[in-house]
Amino acid sequence: MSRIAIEGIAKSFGRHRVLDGVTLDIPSGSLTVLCGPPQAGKSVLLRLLVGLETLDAGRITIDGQDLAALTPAQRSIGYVPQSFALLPQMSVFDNIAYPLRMQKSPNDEIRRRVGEAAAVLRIGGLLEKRPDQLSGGEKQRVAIARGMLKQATVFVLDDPLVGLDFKLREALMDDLKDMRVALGATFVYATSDSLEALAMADRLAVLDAGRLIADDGPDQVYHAPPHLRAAELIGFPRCNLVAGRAGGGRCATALGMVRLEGEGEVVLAIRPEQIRFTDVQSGGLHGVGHVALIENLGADSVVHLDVHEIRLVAIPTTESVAGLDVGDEVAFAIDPASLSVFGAASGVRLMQGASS
Amino acid sequence: METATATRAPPSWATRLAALLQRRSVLPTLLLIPVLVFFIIWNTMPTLWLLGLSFYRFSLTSGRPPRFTGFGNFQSILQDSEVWLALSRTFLFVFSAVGIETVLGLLLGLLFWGSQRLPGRRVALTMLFTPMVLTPVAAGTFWRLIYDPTFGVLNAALRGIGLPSVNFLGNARTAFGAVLAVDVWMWTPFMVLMTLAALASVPKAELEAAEIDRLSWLQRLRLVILHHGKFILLLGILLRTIDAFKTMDLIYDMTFGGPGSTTELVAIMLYRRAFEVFAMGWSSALAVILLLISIAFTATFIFVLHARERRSQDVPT
Repeated sequence: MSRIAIEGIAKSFGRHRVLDGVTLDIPSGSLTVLCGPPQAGKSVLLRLLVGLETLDAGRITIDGQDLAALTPAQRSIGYVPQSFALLPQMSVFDNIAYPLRMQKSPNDEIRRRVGEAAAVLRIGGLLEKRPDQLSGGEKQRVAIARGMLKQATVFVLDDPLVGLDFKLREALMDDLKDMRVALGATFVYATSDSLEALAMADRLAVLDAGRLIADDGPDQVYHAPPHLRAAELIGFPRCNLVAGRAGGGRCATALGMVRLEGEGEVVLAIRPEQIRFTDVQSGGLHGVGHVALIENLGADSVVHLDVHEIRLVAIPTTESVAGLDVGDEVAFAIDPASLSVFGAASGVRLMQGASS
Repeated sequence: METATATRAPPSWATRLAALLQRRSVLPTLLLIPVLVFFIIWNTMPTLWLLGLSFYRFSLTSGRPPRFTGFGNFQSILQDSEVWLALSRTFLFVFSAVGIETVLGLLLGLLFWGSQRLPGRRVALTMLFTPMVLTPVAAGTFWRLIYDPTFGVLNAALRGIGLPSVNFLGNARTAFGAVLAVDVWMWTPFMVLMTLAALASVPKAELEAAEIDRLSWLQRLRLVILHHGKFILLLGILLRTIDAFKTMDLIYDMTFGGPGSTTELVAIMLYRRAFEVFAMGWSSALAVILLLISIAFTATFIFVLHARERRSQDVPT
């Protein structure tokens, strides 16, 4: 059991404020993904958790124990940095075993525990190899095995799949989920790839410019983003953002009117799959666009539509894409119930789902 | 008519030169020539001259022309007990100096590396490197003044705390140590520099991972820092060894080999025999022997460097 509570932490390097009052609860046994653009503060948050940096403010506890008093070695946290940091001169076996060996554990115990870790992570056949003979995924498992021998209950992975090819990443994402189940540990995983984040997380925390802007299940973050930046950052193809002006219970946009309480400039976030190609107009947001580009993703196609001055990105149903070509005119409608509405200046969500 | 002949005339020397320089190999060769000429005149030719002279009996004081003696000079050197003494003294000097400089350099280097955010670090580093940029003769001169038994600052300090003054450079028991200390003072900064360069080549993530994996400071030094930094450190040690072997100018102004011959390293001996006794043939032969020893050091160094390359090529991919 290792529940991590991060309470109002802040960290600056010189004048640059990297983390600004982040509060985040990481449930025991969860796979929590920290997602955000580069420089958002993900790595720094992980380094604070591991103990490689010291907090300016706030506190971090694991099961109620304050980490501030503990050195990195005393924390029961396994760390897998982006480079994996395996020692190049040692075999895989020695790389996993050296922390135990340095503690002068008996040889048969070392062999037993390395064997156990290797069996869980399925790297039994690699123990005699050297790190430079391993693939990225194998290195990752060796680095996790090293943490297992430390008897870590929390594993911190800093963007470990970056730079690996697509197929390998998919396989590793599945592997990592299995490993977590096998180890029963809490995983904290940082990535700047929002698809990776959505695929892996059972809890998704979105960081932007040192602030936490979303912290929820991945479905909720995707379908009901609590902040404009979360809508922008999470999801591919990108979310459509349409400006509007609210007033008198209505909101006027370039695509039509929706009913909306409140006043002032707002932004409507429309997911690509919520744009349906149809002639039936039930009020609300709709229009006719010119097809500017069709991207084939295999199962789906991404259609870029020019509507007035706006470029919309849509993932229509397969039937409605059939026979469509660049330059064609196409009528579309958007169900207002699926919209998220944000304040244009604040970025804060004003409401989820509107009506026509 | 005049314009027609002008166009048909051969191109001017300027355009021909430009065309020549356009060719790939010409410009690099031209740029290399001054260095090569300099090297041949000032390095290769004197070395060959020295080699030739070492086979002759040639004293500048006798007024007789050089006489060929074959390996006579070499034979006399190898049978000269003073040469062997000077050589063993030199090896003692080299190993103590390089040993102390390496240990001190490593410690100071780690200290500077671990205090990246300390204010005044850059100023301290600059000050530390000052001895290295001095001319050895100048350093020797002012250390002679510091060591001076009557008005030297070191003895003033000793008297200040109630100790008797010591004639550091004039006493046969202290002279070698005093000279060694100055070499350490002068060249430890070089080993600090090499240590800092070695530390810069250590991947930070490996060090951090080792810290998280509960390795002690010494274990991290051995497994991570020395593993990645050892070749740069080795380079420093070898450069210092070759250089310390040739030490002459530093001692020249402090003791000139004395008292007696307690600080007479081979380079000093060579200088004395050549420019005090004027035994040019004999001195040339000794110089050739020293050159061979230096080449042996260099060959060791190149071997070690290549051993690294060979090993990295062995690793199957």
